[in-house]
Amino acid sequence: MFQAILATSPMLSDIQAFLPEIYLTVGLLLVVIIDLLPGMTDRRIPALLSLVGLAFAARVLWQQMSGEPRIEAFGGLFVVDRFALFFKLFTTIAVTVVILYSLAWKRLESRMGEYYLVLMSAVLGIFVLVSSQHLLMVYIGLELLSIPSYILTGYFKNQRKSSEASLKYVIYGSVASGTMLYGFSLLYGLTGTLRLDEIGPALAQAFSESGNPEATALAFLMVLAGFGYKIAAVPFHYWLPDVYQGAPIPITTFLAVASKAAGFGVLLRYMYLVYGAPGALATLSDVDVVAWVDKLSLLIGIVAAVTMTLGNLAALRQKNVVRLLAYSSIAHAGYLLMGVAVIGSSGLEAVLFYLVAYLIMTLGAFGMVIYLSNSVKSEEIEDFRGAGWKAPIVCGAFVMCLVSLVGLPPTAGFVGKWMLFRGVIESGMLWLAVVAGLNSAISLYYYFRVAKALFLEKSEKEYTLKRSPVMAAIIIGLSVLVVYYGLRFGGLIDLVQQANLFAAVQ
Amino acid sequence: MDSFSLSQFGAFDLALMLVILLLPLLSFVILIFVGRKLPRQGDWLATMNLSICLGLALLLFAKMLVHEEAPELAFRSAAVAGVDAAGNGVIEDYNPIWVDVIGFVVKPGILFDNLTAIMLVVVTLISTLVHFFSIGYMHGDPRYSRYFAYLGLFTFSMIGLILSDNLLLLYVFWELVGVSSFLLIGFWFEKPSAASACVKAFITNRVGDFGFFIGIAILFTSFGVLGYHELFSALSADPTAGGTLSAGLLTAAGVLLFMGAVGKSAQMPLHIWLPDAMEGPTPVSALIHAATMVAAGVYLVGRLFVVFTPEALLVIALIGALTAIFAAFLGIVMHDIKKVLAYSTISQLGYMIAAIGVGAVTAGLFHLMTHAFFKALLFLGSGSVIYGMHHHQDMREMGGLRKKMPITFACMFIATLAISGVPLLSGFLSKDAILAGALFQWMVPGSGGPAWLYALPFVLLLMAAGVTSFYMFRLIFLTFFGETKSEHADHAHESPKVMTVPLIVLAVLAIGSGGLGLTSHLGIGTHWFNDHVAAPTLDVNEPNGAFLNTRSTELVLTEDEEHAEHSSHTIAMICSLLVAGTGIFLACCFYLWRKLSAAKVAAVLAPVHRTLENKYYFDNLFVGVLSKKVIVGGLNRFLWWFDATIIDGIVNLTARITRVLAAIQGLFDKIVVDGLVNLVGLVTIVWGFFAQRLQTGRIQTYLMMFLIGFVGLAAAFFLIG
Repeated sequence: MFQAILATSPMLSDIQAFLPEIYLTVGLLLVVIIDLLPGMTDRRIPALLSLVGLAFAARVLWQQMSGEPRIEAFGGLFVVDRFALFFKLFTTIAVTVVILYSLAWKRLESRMGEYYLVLMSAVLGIFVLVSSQHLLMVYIGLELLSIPSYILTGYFKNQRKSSEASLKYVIYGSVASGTMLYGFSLLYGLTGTLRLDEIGPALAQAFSESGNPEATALAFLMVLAGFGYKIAAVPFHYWLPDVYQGAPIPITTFLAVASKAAGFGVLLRYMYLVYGAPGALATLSDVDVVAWVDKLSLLIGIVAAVTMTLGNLAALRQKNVVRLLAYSSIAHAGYLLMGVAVIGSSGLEAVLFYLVAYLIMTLGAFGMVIYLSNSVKSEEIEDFRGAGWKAPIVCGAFVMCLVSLVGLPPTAGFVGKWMLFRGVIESGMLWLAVVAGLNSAISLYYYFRVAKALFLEKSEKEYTLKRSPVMAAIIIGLSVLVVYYGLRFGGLIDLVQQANLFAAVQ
Repeated sequence: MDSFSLSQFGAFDLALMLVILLLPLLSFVILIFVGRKLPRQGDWLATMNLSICLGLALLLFAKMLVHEEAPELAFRSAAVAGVDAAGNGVIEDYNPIWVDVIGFVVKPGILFDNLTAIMLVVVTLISTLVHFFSIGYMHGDPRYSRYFAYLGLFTFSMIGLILSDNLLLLYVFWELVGVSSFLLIGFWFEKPSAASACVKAFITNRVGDFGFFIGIAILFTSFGVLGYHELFSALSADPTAGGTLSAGLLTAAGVLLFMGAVGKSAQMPLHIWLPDAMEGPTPVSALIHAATMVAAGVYLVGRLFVVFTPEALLVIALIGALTAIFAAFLGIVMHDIKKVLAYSTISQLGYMIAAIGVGAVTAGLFHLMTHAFFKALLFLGSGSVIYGMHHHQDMREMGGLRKKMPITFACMFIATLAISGVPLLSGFLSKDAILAGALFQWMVPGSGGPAWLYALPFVLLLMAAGVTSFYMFRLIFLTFFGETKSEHADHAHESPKVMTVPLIVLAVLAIGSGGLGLTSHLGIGTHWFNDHVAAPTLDVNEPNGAFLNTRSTELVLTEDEEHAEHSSHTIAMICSLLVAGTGIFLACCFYLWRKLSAAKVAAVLAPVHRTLENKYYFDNLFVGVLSKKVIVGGLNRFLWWFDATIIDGIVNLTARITRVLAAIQGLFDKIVVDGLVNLVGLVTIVWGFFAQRLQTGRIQTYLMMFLIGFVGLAAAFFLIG
């Protein structure tokens, strides 16, 4: 009924486009209020409220998905298109799983209202971020995501590792966003606008008229440094291992999946609108511009190659599963950047597809860590020895997720990699595909080491594995999805093809 | 759906093939879940399923023999059968789309031709026999039912690999075969050696498979198709793929595809996994690591023969021939009965690969089949010996088993005669055909490189033939002749019927599978295998020498060439008989009559033997250990070996040559192969050290690196171009 009233009033159409965010905010406020009520000590209540908020938001998102392909709100600051909806739904699913993980993880006990409040604020940040079409909104969204992330990382405030990680994260993040802001101001200076869809053509015009390749490049690189920090691309990745290890594992999961995807979401929108869209730099045929564009995509390709190589090689030496997954997530950012390097062609949909695959398999992997660490009280690989035979089906499902992370058939990870490889090969960057192929081979070793510890090595200490049917169901469900999308990916590809339409970009 | 008819292939045959494909999968699924609860842990179910498969495969095989026209059927998951102009069943139009990525469509399909029919029989037959044999061999194993489940998974994957009609589907089954091999090698995973052997096999294969995959990707990006038929017709229409493909790139694609075969078929330098794979149960060695899976690489190269450029073919021929000779030398110095057979397998696979490399595709595939029978027989025979010896595999503990295990002895002796190339047996025919092909290539060299390179395969393969008969007879003499050398050998006993009957069946095939063609060798009639499996050719108007090898484009030989081909057969036969005879004679001198100082030879062989044994430590490489220890150790060993050669080297000439060559091979493994792997490990460690140094945990360093990274990127941007 609320919606019906909104729909009748054209004045309020902006609000209607913003409805998912409003539902999230309401849910978040309810968490605060409930938390203040006396007697509400059950740790599940705030989680439940958050889930309800997400469910409401998801319902609206679903309706928007079948509604108009593109709605602009607030004078073009905010845009609801298929691309944004893709990322919002993606985030909703990821965060739902993260909340379930938080419930299952035994070490989260006190101050739960605060925990969910901050988590939902971060989700709100992601929603704003992926919908923004204006550099100011991009900045606000990014900070709205970052600041709760800092808080959540330091959630165990009396643990040294946790607080230290949080502080490092804050400082590193501030420097990165400062750099990015500088880039924004340069862009504004060059074009006179902050609207993403206007910057593209204006920049192209400025470039071909007055030709200022150095300033343009500097602006691009500074902005990319800011996004590079969010997705943890080398050389802007240093914060990541410490933060992943210091944060509560469900929060690490959130950072690895939802936050990283949001980073890619805004990076893709930025790169497409400012760089790859018709009329923007990458589509011009001017000799100077083409040389410039080639250099930039070569540079991104190099960053991708170095990112995946460093991530994989560093992961080889890790003994702690969370740290291993942290470096593996750096490596995956490298694979995904391959698609960004060739954004003009089929790169975009490959990235979107791989993100979905990455969501499923990474959630599965972190879920397993939570499942096991509840019983083992440790995240060292050697403490997981022999656990495979105690819960063979769940661990088998987990191994399937690892197989997908390596990128072997028949899994979604394989299909995603196939698409990414195809994209770069078609764009003539064969060397990048070769590097990525070698990297996949390396990654087999360390993922496999985890599987080996689970199934092929004997446990040294005696313990009983605590059963958790919900966690087991989630992990098995995720692994089934991994295989399902590895075999029947037509539907998913349709979805990402829809999502890559930045509909009605003039 | 039509019914079964002998005169024509149709949809009914497709149903048969699907049944053959799915029955092993069914036994896998049932056994893995409820195997332990079934009576006898379900071994009867797996064995019964496989026997049905064998029956059906024989039915198809019989049809193929009756069918004179050598049909090439392309089944595409059919509902409707049709008949094309040539009278062959071609079934299309019902195409469930399996993969559909942005207009790139892959359809699962079955390709059935005579080669498929023969391969089906080989796989199902050996798998069935191995199932029976395993009932005895694996009796009482704690994971008995899981063993049969894995066998089912393997057989399913192998059949799928044979039946698939496009490269992507092939690749999927190719990996599945690798996985089941991994599971079976590591079946006794409590043994650390087995656990690391399975990892080693899997990872070594990865190296080859990545090349394979890139090869597929190159072909696909150039021609846009993945099906064999589509690919071949695109290739014959325009090998340059509209100018996008250069001859060099096509060569690269060929060599990369071949890399897959190098991994799976254990060719140098990726052969290192196969000897370790012997840690698996012996019937598994017979099935997977001797007869079927390792032959998949040969099958692949044969199937894709027309894709290879002359240069690529030359590479294939040389790698095959080098593998054949070097692995054969290793066979001489092994004491473990299974290790001898493992190196023998590598060597014989080298033979097949080389055969295809020199253009004798039919001979190579023929050898694949005959080898499958006699090598499976040898492995099952060794399994029977090991079973009788209470799981001791060292030949030095055996001896005199001839009287205690007469059936095993007789069968293994037949297989030894076959592999040594003694006339009247299957191995003689196939090996001879390969040697003739290699000799012909020498006489009429191709355009892939200098002519002298084309002489190498024949020379190396001929030498390998001699060494083969030497080490095989050594094995027979050490195991079955002379005095018993240990308590286990004293108490050895013949294996139960469930194990010996498969041996007898295989022994009959080791004689018979070639015997059918013997008459053709004497110039009477034609050879059944040659009749039914022709070398694949392309239908090309203008042969493009840089792109396509002449063997797949020009069928008509000039008069000189025809003469050369004729004489090559005679010469090759005489040479191979001489060489094999010499090998057997020397083996008799050493190990039967003891005329030559076997003890002295053994003493001098010790350092070499140790060098070879040390190979197995290099599993450590996977965990990144290498460094000076290995290099310094290798150098020490080299100096020691040098001392031993110069000072103690006054032994008879044959032994000396043998020893030197074997040592060179050992050093090659040690220094070149290990060295390469070590180098990779070293680079990784150095990098890791470097990266870890930067990950100091200090935020100041992080921010400094942020700044340096950013400035570096900007500098790179301004400096490029």
